[in-house]
Amino acid sequence: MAPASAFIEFYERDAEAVLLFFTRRTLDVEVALDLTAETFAQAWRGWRRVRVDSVEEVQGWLFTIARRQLGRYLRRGEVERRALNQLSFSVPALADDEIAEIERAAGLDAVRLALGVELKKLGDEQRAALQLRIVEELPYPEVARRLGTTEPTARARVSRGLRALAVALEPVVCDQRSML
Amino acid sequence: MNQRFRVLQELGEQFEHASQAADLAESRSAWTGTWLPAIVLRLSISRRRFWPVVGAAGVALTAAIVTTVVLLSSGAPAAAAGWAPVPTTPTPAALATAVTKCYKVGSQDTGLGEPVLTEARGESTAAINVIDGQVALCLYNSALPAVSIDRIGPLHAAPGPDQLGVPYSEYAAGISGRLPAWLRQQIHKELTSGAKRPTRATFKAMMAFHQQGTFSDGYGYWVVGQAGSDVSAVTFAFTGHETVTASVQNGWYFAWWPWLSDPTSVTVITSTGTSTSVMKNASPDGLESRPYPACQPGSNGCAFVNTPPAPSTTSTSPVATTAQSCDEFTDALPPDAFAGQPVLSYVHGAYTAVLDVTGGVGYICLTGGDQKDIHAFYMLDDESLGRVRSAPGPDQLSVPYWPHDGGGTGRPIGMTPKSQLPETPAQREATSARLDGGGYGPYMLGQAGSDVAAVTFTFANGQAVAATVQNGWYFAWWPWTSDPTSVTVTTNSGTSTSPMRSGTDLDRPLPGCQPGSTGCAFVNTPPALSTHTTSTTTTPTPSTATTTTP
Repeated sequence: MAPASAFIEFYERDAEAVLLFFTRRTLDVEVALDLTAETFAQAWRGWRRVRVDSVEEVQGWLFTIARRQLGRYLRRGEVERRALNQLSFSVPALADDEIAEIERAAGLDAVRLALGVELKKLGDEQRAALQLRIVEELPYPEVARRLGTTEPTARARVSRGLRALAVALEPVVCDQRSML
Repeated sequence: MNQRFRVLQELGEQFEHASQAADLAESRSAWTGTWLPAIVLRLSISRRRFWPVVGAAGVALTAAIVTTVVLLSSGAPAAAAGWAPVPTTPTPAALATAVTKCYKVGSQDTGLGEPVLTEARGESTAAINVIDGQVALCLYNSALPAVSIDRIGPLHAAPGPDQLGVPYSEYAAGISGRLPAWLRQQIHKELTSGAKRPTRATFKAMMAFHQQGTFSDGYGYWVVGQAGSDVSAVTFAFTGHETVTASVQNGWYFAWWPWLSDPTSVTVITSTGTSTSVMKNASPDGLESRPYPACQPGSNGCAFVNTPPAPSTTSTSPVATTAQSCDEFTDALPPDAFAGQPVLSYVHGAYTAVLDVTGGVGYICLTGGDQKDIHAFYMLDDESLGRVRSAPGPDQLSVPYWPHDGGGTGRPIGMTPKSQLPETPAQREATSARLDGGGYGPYMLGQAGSDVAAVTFTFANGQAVAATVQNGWYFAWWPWTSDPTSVTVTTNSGTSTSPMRSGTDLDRPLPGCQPGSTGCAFVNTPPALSTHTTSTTTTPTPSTATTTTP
C-alpha cells in the first residue's frame, strides 16, 4: 500500500509528463490539462491500493489510466470529470502565455506540421471540424454554428477526427519522447 | 510542490492538501486529544448496499440523503469531561432543544414524530428518528451551539431477537470557525452547490487541521443500528479506552465516543444471558462496518450478522435476482430492460453478471453477494451509442466493447466473495492491490460467431481466463488490470490463437484483420448495426467461467 505522501512525489515527478502526453495527442492544452487533472484524481482514488515496487511500475499504472482517459475523450469528445468532482478539485484556468509555453514544451509545432499532412487525408466534415476547433480554436458552439450542425455532432466529428489523427501521428508523437 | 507550469503547481497543491490530510488521518487511532464540541457527523454510506434499495425508489440516488451542517463562527474547545461512557435519559428540555437545533426551521413543526431512541451522554443529547424509511441522527452538544443531522441510510432490521443489525456506516468530524478560510469556503461551496455532504477529501482535511492543532475541536465515532427484541443492553470494548455502554431503546442501539478507534468487541445482554463477539475493524477507506465472516442469522457468538436473506423461493435464481437488481438500479433504463431472459448470464462464485440487449442497446450488470449489491453497471460503448454490433464471421469475435459507464461503480472487484475476504484491513489492502488499478472494470464483452464454442484470454504471465459464451456473446472479467495478450477461439473446426492489442487499442483489430481473415479472432466491425432484442434470444444456461489462480 502506498502512503498518501508518496503521491505528491509521484505527482511532482510525472505531472508534467502526463500533461505533455495529453497535449501532444489532443493538440489542445486546455483539454490536456483537464485530462491530466482527471487522470491524477483517478490515480489518487486508487493510490491506497497501489504497490509502489518501482517507479516504472507506478508510471505504467499511471499511463494506463491516462491512455484510457484519452480513449474515452477521443470517443466521446468530452473529458470525464468524475473523480475530480468527487474530490471537489478544480482545474486551474490557463492564461494565453501559459498555453503557448506548454505547447512549446510539448513540441506541438512538429506535431502540427505532421498534422497538416494528415488532415488532408480526412473526410471534408471531420477536417472542417478540426480546422475550426483545433486550428482556429473556436468554442464548440461556434464550431457547430459554422458547420451548420449541432454541438454534439461537432464534438463527435472533432473527436473522431482526432482519433484518426492520433493513430496517424503516433510515430511523430512517440519520436519526441520515447516514454510518452 | 515544484512544478514548472503554474497550473500544475496549483493542481498539485490540491493533491498536497488531500495527501497531507490522508496521512494524518491514518494516524488517528493514536490520537486521544480533546473531543468534539462542535460535532458534525459525516456519513459513509455503503453504496453497494444502498444503491439497489434506492434504485427502486427513484433516480437521484443521493437525494435520499439529507445532511445539514452548521459551521460555527466561533467557539471554545471543550474537554473530554463533557462525555460520559454510560448514557442517561435526557431531560425533556434538553431533548427539545436538540431536536429544535437539528431540525427546526423557523416556527415550522419538524413533522418527525417521536424519536425511536434518545440519550444524554455528558453534555450531549442525541435523538434517533426514522424518516421516510431512513435513519436520522441528531446530535447536539450543549457545550457549544453546534448540531449535526444526518440521514444515514435505509433501514435494515435486526436479524434475530438476540442479535444486532450491522451498524450503519459512519464517520465523524468536528469543525469550527478556526478552520482555515479556504477549507471553510470549500465546505461551504460543497454544501451550497447541491452536495449533500462534504467530500471525503474535505472531511480528511478537516481532521488534518484538527490534528495539526490549528483548531482544537475534536471528533468521535458513533455507532447506531437496530437491536433484536430480546436485546436489553449492549456495550462496546476498546483497546486502550474505557468500555462504552450503548443506549438500547425500542429495538435500536446507539453509542458514541470521543476517540477515533474502532471497538474490539461487542457484548450483548439478552434474557438468556450475555455473549461477547469480536468486531471487525472498519475498512481503511470506507469505514464500513461489516459482520464477522460466517456470521449468519442464528450463528452463535455473532452479535452482528449478515443482512437476513430474502425469503427464498424456488423460482428466484441468482440470475433472476441479479436481473431484478439491475432493473432497479436506475430509472434511466428502458421499461423492458432486464425484463426477459438475459442474453448472457455469468455465474462465478458469489458474482453474477447478466447482459441485456433492449432496443439494440446493450447493458451489462455485475452483482456480488446476494445479487443485490451492484458492483458494475455499464452500457456498451459503440461510439457512445450503446449499439450492438454483430460478430463478423461464424468463427470470429467482434472486437470488445468499451464500457460506457451507465452509473455503476465501475470499479473492479475481486473474485473473492466478500465473506471470504481476508480478515485484517492490511490483508485486505494487500489483496485489493491486485484488484484495483484506478477505477476500471476490466472485462471483455462482445459478440461471438455462431460456430464459436469457447473463448479463452491469455495474459503475459501465461494466466488464462475462460470466457462465458452464450447466445452469440462472450464475456469474461478478472480482478486485475492488465490486458490480455492473446485470445484463443475454439470452434467446430479447431482452435486458433490470435494476438491482441492492448490499452486504448483493445477495441481495434490487428492490422490486416478483416472478416474471413485467418489467424484473426477479432476483425473489423461490420458497418451494419444489428437489432438484437431480448425477445429473439433463447433461454440461456448460466455457465461458470474459470480462472487460473493468480
